[in-house]
Amino acid sequence: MGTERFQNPAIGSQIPPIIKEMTQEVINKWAEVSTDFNPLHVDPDYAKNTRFGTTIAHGQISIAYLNELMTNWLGEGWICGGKLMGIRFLKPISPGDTVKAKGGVVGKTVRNGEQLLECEVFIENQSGERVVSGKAIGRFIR
Amino acid sequence: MNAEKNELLFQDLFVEKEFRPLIFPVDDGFVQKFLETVQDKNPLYSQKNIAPQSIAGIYSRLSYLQDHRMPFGGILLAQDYEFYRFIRVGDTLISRARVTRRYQEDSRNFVTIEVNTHNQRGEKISLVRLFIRWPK
Repeated sequence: MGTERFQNPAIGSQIPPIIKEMTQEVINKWAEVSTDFNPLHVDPDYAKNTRFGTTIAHGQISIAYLNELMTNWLGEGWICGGKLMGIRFLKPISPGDTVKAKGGVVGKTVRNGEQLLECEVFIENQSGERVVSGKAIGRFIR
Repeated sequence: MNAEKNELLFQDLFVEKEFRPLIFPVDDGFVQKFLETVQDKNPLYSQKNIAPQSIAGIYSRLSYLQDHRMPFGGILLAQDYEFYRFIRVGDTLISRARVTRRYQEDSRNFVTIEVNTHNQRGEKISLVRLFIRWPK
């Protein structure tokens, strides 16, 4: 992490992915740190009677994973000036899922002397289904 | 704790409605708990004594739910995040949320909330837009 830096990433370059295991413990910890105790997230008995049939992870956990993906890759070029745009939750993530956050460069522009990398970013589950998708724009710092 | 709050209903929301500012201290205990929760081991945070930008997901939500709770069944359709500068451990963030769009379509309610956050020095930290299907 942070060491897999790159030189002049081309369109089509892939961002080193990160892999996470979703567990009820992770969800419960997120509930505590965020104070979001919606039973759909933290109460398995409640959740099994919903259309999901199980608890689901808070959507903001996925935002944290995408942020980690981009911070590992671009470092300060992401932290100061990064954008996640149009992030959509396509399918729920539940305990037992293994998810992979990944992405690639789809465009490059120069603004005010800085190179901006436009990336497609997404999260896949263990079945290869996209569960979260959107766009990321970050600064490339040499 | 949510049971003590009233639900924030669609009828209570109108364009340009502003919520009272959220004061959000970023202390080390919170940052460490956040990083442990999402298992983010990037050394940048400890080396520079900064917080991950994704804590925006937490303070942005709280900024419009300080005095209310979200009715069950809300769906977060999409989100935008713009990060402007480091969040230092020890900073106190001030988040201001306002409704920028509210409409109904096919008997469903939709609301866009924009959250601007600055630090205690008045420096802009982040802009978050939340596109929400409001349940009732």
